[in-house]
Amino acid sequence: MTETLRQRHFEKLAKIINRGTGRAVQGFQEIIGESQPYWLEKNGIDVNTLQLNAGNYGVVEQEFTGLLNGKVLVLFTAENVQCILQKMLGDEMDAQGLNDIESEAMGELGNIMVNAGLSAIADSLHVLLESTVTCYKQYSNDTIVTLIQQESNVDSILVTHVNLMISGTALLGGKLIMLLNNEFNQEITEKIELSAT
Amino acid sequence: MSKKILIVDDSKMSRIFIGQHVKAAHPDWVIQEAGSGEEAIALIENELPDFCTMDINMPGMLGTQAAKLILEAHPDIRLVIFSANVQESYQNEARELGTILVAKPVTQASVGLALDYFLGA
Repeated sequence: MTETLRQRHFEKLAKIINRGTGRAVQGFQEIIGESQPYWLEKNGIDVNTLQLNAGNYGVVEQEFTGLLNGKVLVLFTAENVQCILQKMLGDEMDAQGLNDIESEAMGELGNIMVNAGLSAIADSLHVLLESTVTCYKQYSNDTIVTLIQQESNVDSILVTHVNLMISGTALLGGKLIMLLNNEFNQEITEKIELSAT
Repeated sequence: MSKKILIVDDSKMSRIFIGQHVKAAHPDWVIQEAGSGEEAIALIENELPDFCTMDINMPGMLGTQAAKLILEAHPDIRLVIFSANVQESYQNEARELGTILVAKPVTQASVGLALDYFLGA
């Protein structure tokens, strides 16, 4: 597989994900702005290439089986988490109340974003993707890099970004990271080629 | 006449939001909650709801499996699958069960779709 061919498939995959997440985000009102998706080889992953500019992130993690046998992460900066929670749950909830429900609320938001994107992939490629329930944790940017590097079944990652508008307010959303292995890349290449014919 | 609705979702937040939208539209309806398919089946054995919303991805059995068991035992219950997992495979499964799949997020519009289905609109 040449580098150019691979880039083309990653771009197609990113477009499918954006279409799916766009549909879900419309439920929160509308998608706003889209930063350029990008992909990285595992050995090229660090805080800079991942563009992790904040120190700490709320991370939603979900595992998939089927064609995509791996993990998807959604990263929200700590600052974004507070903004999103305030908008989702209302100004009357105090800081303690927001803290109490943070894991629950962000896990569900991440679940919606991940499943929208992955459902679009499944439908486009006519496959079934089964998933675990989401898990939400807080990690530093260094820990996120380490976690990805420690995944033995990962060769590359695809990064897209989903912004939100909740109750009329534009909010920075989350960085959606798909951890990919060569097996998936080869299969997705074949299926994308087939779907294009 | 007052109706009873069972909201099945492992997300407490989703249960709260669905319940709020249902209450806003039908203040007299009685709301029950379950956090898994297994819990829903156990609840229904004791108290039959008129309507049910069912998430798919939950700890334990899939919501579609729970929905199948519930509808086989109690075909009069009007049930919708309410999930972020909107893959065509699950939409087809919902159709085969004689129901619909409503896509999350939980909003007035998405809950409205479920309510329309319940009330046969």
